[in-house]
Amino acid sequence: MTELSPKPISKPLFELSIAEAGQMIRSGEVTSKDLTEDALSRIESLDGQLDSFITVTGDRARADAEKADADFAAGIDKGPMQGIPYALKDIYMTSGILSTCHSKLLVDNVPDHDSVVGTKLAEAGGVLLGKTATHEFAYGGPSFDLPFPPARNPWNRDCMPGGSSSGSGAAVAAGLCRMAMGSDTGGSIRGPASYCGTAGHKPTYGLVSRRGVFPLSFTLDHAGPLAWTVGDCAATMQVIQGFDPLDPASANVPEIDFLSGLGDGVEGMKFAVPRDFFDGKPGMDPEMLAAFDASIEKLKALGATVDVVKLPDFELFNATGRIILTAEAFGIHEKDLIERPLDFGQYAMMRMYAGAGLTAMDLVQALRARRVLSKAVNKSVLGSYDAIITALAFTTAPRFDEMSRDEPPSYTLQSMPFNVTGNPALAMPTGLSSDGLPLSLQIVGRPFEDAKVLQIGEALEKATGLIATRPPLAA
Amino acid sequence: MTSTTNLTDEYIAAAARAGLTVPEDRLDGIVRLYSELRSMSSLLRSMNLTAADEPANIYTFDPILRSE
Repeated sequence: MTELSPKPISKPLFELSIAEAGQMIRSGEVTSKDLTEDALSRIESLDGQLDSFITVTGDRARADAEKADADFAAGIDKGPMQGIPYALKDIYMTSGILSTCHSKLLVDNVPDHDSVVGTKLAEAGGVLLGKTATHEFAYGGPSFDLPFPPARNPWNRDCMPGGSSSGSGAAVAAGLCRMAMGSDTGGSIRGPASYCGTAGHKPTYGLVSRRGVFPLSFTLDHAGPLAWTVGDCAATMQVIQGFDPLDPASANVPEIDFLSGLGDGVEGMKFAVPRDFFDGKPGMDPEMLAAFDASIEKLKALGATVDVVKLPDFELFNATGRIILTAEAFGIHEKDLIERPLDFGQYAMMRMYAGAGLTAMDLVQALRARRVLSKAVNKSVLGSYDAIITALAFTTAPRFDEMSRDEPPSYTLQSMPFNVTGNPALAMPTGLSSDGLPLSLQIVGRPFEDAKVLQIGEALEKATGLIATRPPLAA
Repeated sequence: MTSTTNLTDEYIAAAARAGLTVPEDRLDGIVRLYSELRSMSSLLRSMNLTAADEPANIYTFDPILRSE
């Protein structure tokens, strides 16, 4: 055998990480076309059980793949996303492609522009597979009264995948794509990541442009990736980060190197655990807590030190976020709420209608609280620690048949505090429960230290080894 | 403590001011969500904020001027 002979592919194409797939494309073992046809075939055969996609853009994907392969053949290398198939949550506007926000109000909406994130991924040679299901306007759901069905959890189709980036979480976990973009206003990346057993990164507020992503709450919205591995989140972040002068919230900071620190581990790092947030709280699943504690022990074994710390009460963060979110969402949708309220699904309509009773004083008090709480996290705790490690979901994915039909479901997630503060936060799996559903935690870093958050997550991911396990449906 | 009836009346008045027509079959559920928001707002008023505690999104020129 000569040195130039390609190595045999040792696992199915859908199991390749972005880095592995990129390496194999560059060595000529596979093409972007191979990866794309494999993904489209998996969507065709599996998504009827998941409803994770609203629109599949097969022609666009094949054209993107052909371009990526041609660029590689011409010696043009645009970085880690070149030739990699991905999906966008359907609140990301896509030029010439249906962009519905999973709502009757936009059921025929075909924009003439792309989101900044979509543009960056396209310019980096990514391959757009399609648009994924969400809760209506990233807010109301999962719902059965919308133009498209809700996505289902590939670990158990009777369970919710979480939301609002529900289709993105389900598609990634089922191996339909390696990465799908989500958005996170109160936990909408991290919730689906938690329930579907993927990684999900909510970047620092302002690090990724929100322009062209339909807003839910201007000051709480974050755009970020869900991916099967932490490294895949890093590869995506490398491409989608960056200052956007036309996004008023965009931060004019130096670009971050997301890739070189992966593999550097956590030795010598100091972590803070706010146990009061979750330990002993009603509804906390003992298996979730046990997996959390086991992960902490793994981080200690990797050379980190861990202290228990106190943060302000979780309910203060939650109240602050909920009031701001509800007020801003009402402001965005006010005209339609007045003129065509019944064109919204029941849950989104009810949540937004409740905001009609908020006063200007309520909002101002919440905005003042937000600054105080952000200081408490960033000065009092992260001034002395590399990261906060805390619980995310109290339970595994809830079942659809546990939903009330009369009122919107609520998830027991502790994600909102870091929408309020804007810190980078990574959700990642910590194991599987006795009934085969993913368990999770979240890692929260200092502002713009997103790369360190992913470095910590990657170290823990290697230590837990869960990424080798796929939902049975996806195998 | 505000009674459920008072809270419902309060919400209906606020919704009317906002120009909303509340469907009868959804009123109870919406008022329950509104009640949660009222409780949250009360909780935040227990924080003893001082006059120096400014809002998080205080007006700044930079993002406005750069987006012109």
